[in-house]
Amino acid sequence: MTTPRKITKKKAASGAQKSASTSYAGREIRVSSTQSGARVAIDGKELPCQRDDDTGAYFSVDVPYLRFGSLEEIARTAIDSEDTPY
Amino acid sequence: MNVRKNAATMPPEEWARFLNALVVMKHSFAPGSNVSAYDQFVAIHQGVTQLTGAQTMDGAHGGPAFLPWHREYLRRFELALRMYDSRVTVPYWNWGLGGDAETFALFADDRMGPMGAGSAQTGLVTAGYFALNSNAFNPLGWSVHPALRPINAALTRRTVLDTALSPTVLPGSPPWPTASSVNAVLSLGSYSQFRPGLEWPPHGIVHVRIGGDMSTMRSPNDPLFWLHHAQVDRLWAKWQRDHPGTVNYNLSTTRVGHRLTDVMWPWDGGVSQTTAAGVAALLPVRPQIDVVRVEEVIDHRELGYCYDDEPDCPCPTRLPVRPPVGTTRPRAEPITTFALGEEDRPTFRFGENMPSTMAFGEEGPMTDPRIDDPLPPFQIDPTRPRFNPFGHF
Repeated sequence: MTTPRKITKKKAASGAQKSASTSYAGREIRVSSTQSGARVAIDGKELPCQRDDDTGAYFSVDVPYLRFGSLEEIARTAIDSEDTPY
Repeated sequence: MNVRKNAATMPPEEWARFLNALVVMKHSFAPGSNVSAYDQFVAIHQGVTQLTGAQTMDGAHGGPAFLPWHREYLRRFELALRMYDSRVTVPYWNWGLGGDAETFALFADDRMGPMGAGSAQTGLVTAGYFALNSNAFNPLGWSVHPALRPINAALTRRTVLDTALSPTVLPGSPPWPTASSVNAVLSLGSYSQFRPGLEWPPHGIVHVRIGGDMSTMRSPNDPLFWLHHAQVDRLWAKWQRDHPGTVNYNLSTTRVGHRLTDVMWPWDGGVSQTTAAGVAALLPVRPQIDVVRVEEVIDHRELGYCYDDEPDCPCPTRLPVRPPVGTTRPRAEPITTFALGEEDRPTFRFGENMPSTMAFGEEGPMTDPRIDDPLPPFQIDPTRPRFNPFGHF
């Protein structure tokens, strides 16, 4: 069972890299964008994400077969799916 | 021409042959390997999601090569399966009909087996051909390879197949595909629209609604994968018929491994490698010459198969597998019980002549028209270089 998630947000910017952190279900989601692209990490551990060639939607091998509009969304789903063995 | 049939209308005898071949393949091993021929295919699907080398991304999902890669993958699987029963082809599961009786009939014990029992999202399949424990259908049982499973040896699925338009599984997610939603995808005008339109949601939502193994990148652990992807491939073939010419592929993509002339891992001559944990040791050894480019699989008929509802598909048909008198057909041990003049190769049945290990041998020309064309069936030219399509999936 998933429990209600509490969300808080902080933003930070430094030089060429911009990042924003979000707290979700007691976990830190950090989305950063660099010249090489955007990345997302959960508690400092990077979540492997890619973008669909044609639609730009995000997807990840950690949350297979789903498509997402943002990196934060994909990270939240990854956290939710930790409730299951997969 | 091999004919892939609708799973809902495939005769019981053909179902039994198909399921029997799956089980035998699962319990057969490539030479010098302790990995079953079936599990090698599972490893390939897991491996293609994380590549390094020439390719650095997923070689089979989220890009134009989604459809070509899975077409070649499914074709090779089908060829491998036909090593155990030459009359078998992979049926397609027409999930575009929605949650109808035909879909639910697929989950009978004597078909693809029931949904899971126990945990809602990762219930254990406990009956039918793909249950862990031996039973009347499958005396050998069906277990997931230790390196290709997270927790259970048993195949897992959700406990309920939710085909509702307002699903309780993943609330808010797209509904189960229907005829109208599939037709909407088929009406998309360019490949750049059609491919992502088919990959998500219809293709993806079937994976996640089945759940368990099917919702992971080890999804071929569940044999439903093959029926599901036969349907995906069938829809692509259908779309291609209505969209011939240059619009039928994305010519502008720059993603390596997905361009029309790119080679596709693992049939790429070794230019890319997988970084997926634990997978490399499970992969079959492939020769450098085993190279397949995207453009080589665009026309499924050139690959030697069609779907039974294609207008000009020669269905129902059965391939003439009897070699002409006087010809020789090289075969690998231990499948040497085949005799010239015999109508079909032997079907391995439990407790009878099923080999404990099975070597992959050279197959007749009919199995891969790209290799053997223009030689007529079973007229093998010993001076012509050939490679073995079964030794390296």
